[in-house]
Amino acid sequence: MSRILFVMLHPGFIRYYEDAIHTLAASGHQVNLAFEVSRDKLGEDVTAQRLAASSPNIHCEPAPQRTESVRDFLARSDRAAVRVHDEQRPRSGQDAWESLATTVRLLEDYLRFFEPEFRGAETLRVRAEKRLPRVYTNVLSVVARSTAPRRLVRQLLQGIEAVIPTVDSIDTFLRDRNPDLLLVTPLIELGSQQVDYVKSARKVGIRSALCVASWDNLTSKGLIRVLPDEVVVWNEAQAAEARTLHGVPADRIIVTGAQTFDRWFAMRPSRSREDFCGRAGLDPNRPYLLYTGSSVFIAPEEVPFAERWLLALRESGIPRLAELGALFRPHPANARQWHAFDSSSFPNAAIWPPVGTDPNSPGFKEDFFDSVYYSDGVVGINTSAQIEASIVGRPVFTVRSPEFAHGQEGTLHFRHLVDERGVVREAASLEAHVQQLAEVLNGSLPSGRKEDFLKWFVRPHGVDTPATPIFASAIETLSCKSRPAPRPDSAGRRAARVPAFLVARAALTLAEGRPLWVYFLRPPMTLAIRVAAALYELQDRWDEHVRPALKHTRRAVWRAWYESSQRLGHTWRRSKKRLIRAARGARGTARRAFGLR
Amino acid sequence: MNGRPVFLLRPDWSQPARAGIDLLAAAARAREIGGTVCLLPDSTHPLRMSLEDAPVIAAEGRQAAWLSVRWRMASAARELHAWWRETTASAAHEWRRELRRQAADERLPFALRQRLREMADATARYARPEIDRYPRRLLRAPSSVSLSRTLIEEARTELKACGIDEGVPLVTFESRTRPDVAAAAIAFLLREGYTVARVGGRGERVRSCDRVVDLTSMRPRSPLLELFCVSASTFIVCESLNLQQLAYVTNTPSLLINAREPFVAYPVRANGLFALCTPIDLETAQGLTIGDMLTEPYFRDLRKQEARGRRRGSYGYRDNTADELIKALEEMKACIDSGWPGESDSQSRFRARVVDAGAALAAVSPHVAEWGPDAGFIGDGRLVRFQADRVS
Repeated sequence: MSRILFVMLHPGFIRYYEDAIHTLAASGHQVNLAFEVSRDKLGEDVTAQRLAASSPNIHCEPAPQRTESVRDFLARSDRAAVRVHDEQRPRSGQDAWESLATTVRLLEDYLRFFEPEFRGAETLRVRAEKRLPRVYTNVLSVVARSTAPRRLVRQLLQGIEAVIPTVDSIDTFLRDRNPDLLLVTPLIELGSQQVDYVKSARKVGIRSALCVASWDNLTSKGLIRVLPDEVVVWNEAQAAEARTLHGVPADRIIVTGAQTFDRWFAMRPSRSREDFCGRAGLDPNRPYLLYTGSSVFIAPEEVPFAERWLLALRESGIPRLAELGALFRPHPANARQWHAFDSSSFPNAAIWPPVGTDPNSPGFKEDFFDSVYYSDGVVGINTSAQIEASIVGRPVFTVRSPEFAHGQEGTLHFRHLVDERGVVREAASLEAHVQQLAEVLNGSLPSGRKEDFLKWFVRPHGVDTPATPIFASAIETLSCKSRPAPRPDSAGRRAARVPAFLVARAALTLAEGRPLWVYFLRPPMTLAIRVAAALYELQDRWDEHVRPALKHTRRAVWRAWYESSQRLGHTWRRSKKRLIRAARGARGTARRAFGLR
Repeated sequence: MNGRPVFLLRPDWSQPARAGIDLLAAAARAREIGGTVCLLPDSTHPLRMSLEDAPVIAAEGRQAAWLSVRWRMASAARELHAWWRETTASAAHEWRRELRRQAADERLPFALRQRLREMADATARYARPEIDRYPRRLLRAPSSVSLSRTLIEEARTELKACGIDEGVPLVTFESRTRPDVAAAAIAFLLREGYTVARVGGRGERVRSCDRVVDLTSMRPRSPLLELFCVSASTFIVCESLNLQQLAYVTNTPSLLINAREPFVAYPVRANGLFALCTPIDLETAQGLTIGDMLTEPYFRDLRKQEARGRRRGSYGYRDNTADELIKALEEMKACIDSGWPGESDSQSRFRARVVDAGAALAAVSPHVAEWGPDAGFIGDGRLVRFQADRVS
């Protein structure tokens, strides 16, 4: 049986692979999960504990600690921060390499958004730009606009990436765990440090594979900077993205289907419609529409739109639409803003589940399924819930709105939903959307499951063929393949590290994102502060040693003087007394001798 | 110019509200010090206003050319000064960060680190960009501003074409609030016999209705029409500061709704009312009281949003409800009908609280420093009574 090491950014990624991990463990494979970042915002740590407890073949552990995470790197360049944390922590050589690696990866990610495919994706570019230290953006934003200089810079960056050494702690971690297969996900986060696992796996001689976690991963985030041995994707659309946008050779791509959606094909409602509507606060005698919230990037301010959407229905003048119930389901990672939504001001409207519900609580997924299953249609801006609704066979809608342009036409993955093969009916305005809804509910437009879409996007091996066993089988096959030969660093690369280290030191400093004059000012300022520190030190020494010694000496001298003067006085007084006594004796003797009285 | 100080002004007429405020501030200042306002002609934009109750001179010929040069020089100097201020503030900020960075070095003697921290703190006041305070005091007294006769004729024709006859009781209504709430407010206004002109950037769908004129769908937007509409209105209902300022220019009574904080919204003129929305703490889902909106944490969140370019902070906002809006409109109507009677005790107390809070917060919040009380004066307007009563 094989040993599989699955490195995830944080335990939140378990939800994409939970069933597949269970399947692998049940087949006797040893599955070790390592998390780069611990996270408990949405109860992800609980998921990891539950998974580990479910089988003796599953182990969860933290990945090796990095000297500087991407988050730390970004925090260093936060100009608005006033508090200084560990800016003056002594920086090691490893810090410098980590900084250089993160800088190079962020730069590559930024450059990709200048490619022609991302012409409409201004917000994605801005998001990548925000993560870069300011000193680079001024130059790059100009250079990157022309194709030839952009390619040149990218090649340079790829060259630097190749020179950056692997991380010792990761090499050791991989050697210790000695897996037959290394899986990484998501790898494509902006500036991701998971690249180091792929590099270390190459060096140590371990087969590696990237598991693409979600439908937007290859288009809205960063690049696969160092190619793993295999890339596991959901469908042909992602395979094409991997080839064209990331340069992955076709023979390294495995299409398995979207295993994360398998349970949606098998699920059945957990309770009756009356029961569900009663709990959610809807009128069970009336049909309802489900509004599914989107992530914070797509819809930072979704509540006002949701209110307008509901009012458009209520004031449509079409009785069937005006009487519809409305159930709002906030995106679990973007739920906070729904606290401002006052559902009590709309009859037969509710938020379900209540904001703040733990997504790992029992019945959460069943609740979600029920809310889709009993709905008459699902509406959303741009969210994976729209795919889930299409699996259940509900008509799915979206409305184009200027405030969400960046998250709709501004992203490439939105096109999968709305293009000719897509499953979502889009409308250019609320008025058009209302019309669409009326037509679908009246039966003038077809509704029901779109098998073509599901076959193309979710289950490419057949709508009735679950993706999880295919995914697990692909992983099994990869883990049984012979190991690649270790590829230690060549002499040329090692030699190139000497000048590259200077670049790394510069990257470490420039990551602070300060104006250039600060860096020029720093050496003389540091020198002046060192001199001042030496003076303070001197003063401290003086206060600590010299001053007490002087004080002691002064006291001793004074005491000696005092005591000697006292003694002298005493002696003098005694001598004086003796003299007086002697004089008196002499006088008496003289008087007696001369017979004087 | 008979030795009197002259205020040279070339307002940017493409932004009528801003230009109007500049004009009012200059007129007030001229009246204060016995000076004159000289309006330089702007051939790029046809919309022009003139002052009737302040000494205004018109420059012509060579004098106009000379004054224009002077204005350009002064304008360039002002821009240079602003750039210098920004640069020095930025440099001071970086210097402060550097000092604090050095002070964090634990290898340095404690006393030196302490000294560096003190130096950094001393630099903090230079690191803050200088703030141009909103000139509340100068806007206090109304000025009589008028449009040229041709423009008035042009605007009248445009309004008539839109269906607004001259002399009808008109209310200009600008709101991005929920359509049902806006509809309820408009219905109230119609019941009271007003004609309603809807203005604003993004127009919500308005049901076609007698005496409701939708100017939001006009493309391109006509600043002249908006200005004239505000000027011809009995009062305006607005959500943006721009329209509130335009109402100062024309001295039209204004009701600002859905205000997210009291400083920006506080009406300068006595014929202004405003209503605050309800902020919701997104962590606890609890609504904030109006008193909470005068505290430092509320503005700290705003500052964080601005500094980090975030679109959302720790608070969400619930707009005024239809009931609240109608109550506010009733108060507005009562005030107009009875000639703005004295405000209630609770309204006066609220003003005093805003002034006190403004004085206390100005040191820690640049936003409050900019929009807060101007030499202790926040405005002669008032918070709607039902909210002011709730505060007390």
